Amino acid sequence: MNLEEINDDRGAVIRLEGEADLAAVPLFQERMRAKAQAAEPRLVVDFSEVTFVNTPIWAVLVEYYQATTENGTSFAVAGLQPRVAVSYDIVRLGDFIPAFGTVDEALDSLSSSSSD
Amino acid sequence: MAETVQNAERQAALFRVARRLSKVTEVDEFLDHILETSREVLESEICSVLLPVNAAGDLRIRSTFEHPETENFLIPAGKGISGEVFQNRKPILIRDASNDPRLFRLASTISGIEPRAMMTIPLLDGDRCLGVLQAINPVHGGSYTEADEEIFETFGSLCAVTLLRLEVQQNALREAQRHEQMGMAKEIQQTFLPPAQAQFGDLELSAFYEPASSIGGDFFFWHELEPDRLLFGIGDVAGKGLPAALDMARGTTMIASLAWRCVDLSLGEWIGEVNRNLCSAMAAGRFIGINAMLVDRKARRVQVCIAGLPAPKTSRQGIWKPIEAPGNPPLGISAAVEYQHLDLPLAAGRHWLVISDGILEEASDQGEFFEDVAFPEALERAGGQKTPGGVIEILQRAWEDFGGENPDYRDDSTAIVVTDHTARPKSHFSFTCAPDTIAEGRRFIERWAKWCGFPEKEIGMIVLGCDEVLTNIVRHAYHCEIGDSDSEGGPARLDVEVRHGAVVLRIEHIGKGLSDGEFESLAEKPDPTQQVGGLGLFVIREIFDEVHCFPGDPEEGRRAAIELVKSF
Repeated sequence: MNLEEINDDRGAVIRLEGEADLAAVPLFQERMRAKAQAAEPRLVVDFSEVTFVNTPIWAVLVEYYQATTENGTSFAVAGLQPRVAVSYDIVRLGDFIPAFGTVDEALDSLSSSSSD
Repeated sequence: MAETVQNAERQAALFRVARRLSKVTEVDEFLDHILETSREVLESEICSVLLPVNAAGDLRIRSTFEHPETENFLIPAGKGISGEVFQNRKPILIRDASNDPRLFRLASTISGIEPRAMMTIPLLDGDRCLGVLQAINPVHGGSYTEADEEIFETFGSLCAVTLLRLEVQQNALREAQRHEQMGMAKEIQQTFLPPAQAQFGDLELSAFYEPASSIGGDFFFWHELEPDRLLFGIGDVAGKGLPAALDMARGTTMIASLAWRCVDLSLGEWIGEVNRNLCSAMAAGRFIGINAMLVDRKARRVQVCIAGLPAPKTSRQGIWKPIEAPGNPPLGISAAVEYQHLDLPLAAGRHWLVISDGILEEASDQGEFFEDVAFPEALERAGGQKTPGGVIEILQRAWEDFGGENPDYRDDSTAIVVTDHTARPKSHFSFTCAPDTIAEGRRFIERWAKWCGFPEKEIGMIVLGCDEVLTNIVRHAYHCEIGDSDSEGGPARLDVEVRHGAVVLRIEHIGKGLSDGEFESLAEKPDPTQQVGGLGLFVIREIFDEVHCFPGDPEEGRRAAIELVKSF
């Protein structure tokens, strides 16, 4: 899996590409922990180029959510492809981590809700 | 002495007549010849032949007496001497006809000849009367003699035999013409059917079609749509004979003209469209039973629609099972019917059989039905065949043997078999299971899930479920720590088996593994807001229909395993 960090005026983006499985966990976990530590005000994880995600990857998102939920930052995922969306739905992450069709939609939504 | 010579001449004339009558081929030719020779043989002023023109027994007269008014003259049934003879099939000899009340006076009025004596005999074929032969007034004067009667009876017998021969010949000719016409009708009907053998990539098709008579109401069809879709099935038109044959032509033509719509529509929707068209085109009381299948070779899915015919069957590993698709009414009855279909993976069967009730309802001399007696055994043998032609051949032979050559009851009989020759992926995969190699296991599972024909969404779920198992093996059986690049992992083996209605995935590894009870307790849904991990087993249980755990025993060298069952 490849990982790229993008800084947008509206927030930070972590863009993943390829298959996000157990082998990808260390890198992804490291970057997400760094973002949590930095208390990134708005973070979007872009899955639009990801073809597979398993639960250890979702566990990294849960860890980030738990670490940041009290500090006023906002967080979302974007671009879930059908197979990835199935996995996301089974573990019901959508109950507390919002998902958007595109990164732009996610950043716009996070920006507007934080400025309210 | 003169009388003896005269009788010898009449006998000789009779022989000549017999020789000539043996060569006539038409009734008119026969009549001409009889009348031409009758004076010489019967030595009478008038000789007539009267033949029935209808079932009532009205007689048309042909006579040596030619008069415009007698040309199309009909003697009403039972009227006059000839009518009575025809009706009662007994000869009448009248020595003095002038005062006989039975005489049909109109005939003598037209002819202008006053009957003096009359001999009338029936021309018989057993009890059946073919006509009447009549002679009036012997030329030697007075009445008919015993010698006249003898000659007359012989002449009558010759006429009867000739008439019978002509009748048989004409019936044979008519039958030959009917056969020729039916043969042409059969040839025309065959043009509405596609070839009985065809190949579509890895799919092979073979059909069997046997109408009860020359023309029938059954039909089969197949249409290749785009490169990846195959539509096929059979139809059974209500009734028999020409009306059924015409509706068969209508049905096949309509299916052919609408087949392309199957690319965008589901099979149930497409059958509904064919039904609406047939409802507006067919006469009231006419309908067509159709069973159809739509195979998507790329997605490896099969849609099955049953509309008024016996449930199709599919076989895997030699075992046939009925396809339990929802039943629908035949087509052509109501345009409001919404047709339902069943969607199955192509891997659910190797052979797909659609069969008409004509085959199943074939009856033996003992009144037993093929479906109950010989069909199950024939199916069992056919299930082991590699090709659809092999399946058809076994079923056809069993069906023909069962009914015999001339069964009392035989309906149109049609069957079509499609066989999937797509090569199965390798059934097992052994590898070293480590964080970096789990993807290899996923590839193996994905190939199988695709071959089985699971929908895209379910393929993703099956791959995810297996990945979760392999991930747990790596982490808990082989203790690979996340981020530890030196983790070597351990051996794992994946086996896949397709049983009827399900795929069974078995994953083996070294270690203790889990018992069913341990799995169940660990697979409880975790609360992601409260804990980070523990999602894997829950996901596995959510995805698969059955999960069976087999703990291992490292000391005895027994591997642990988990079986994951996913129904089609």
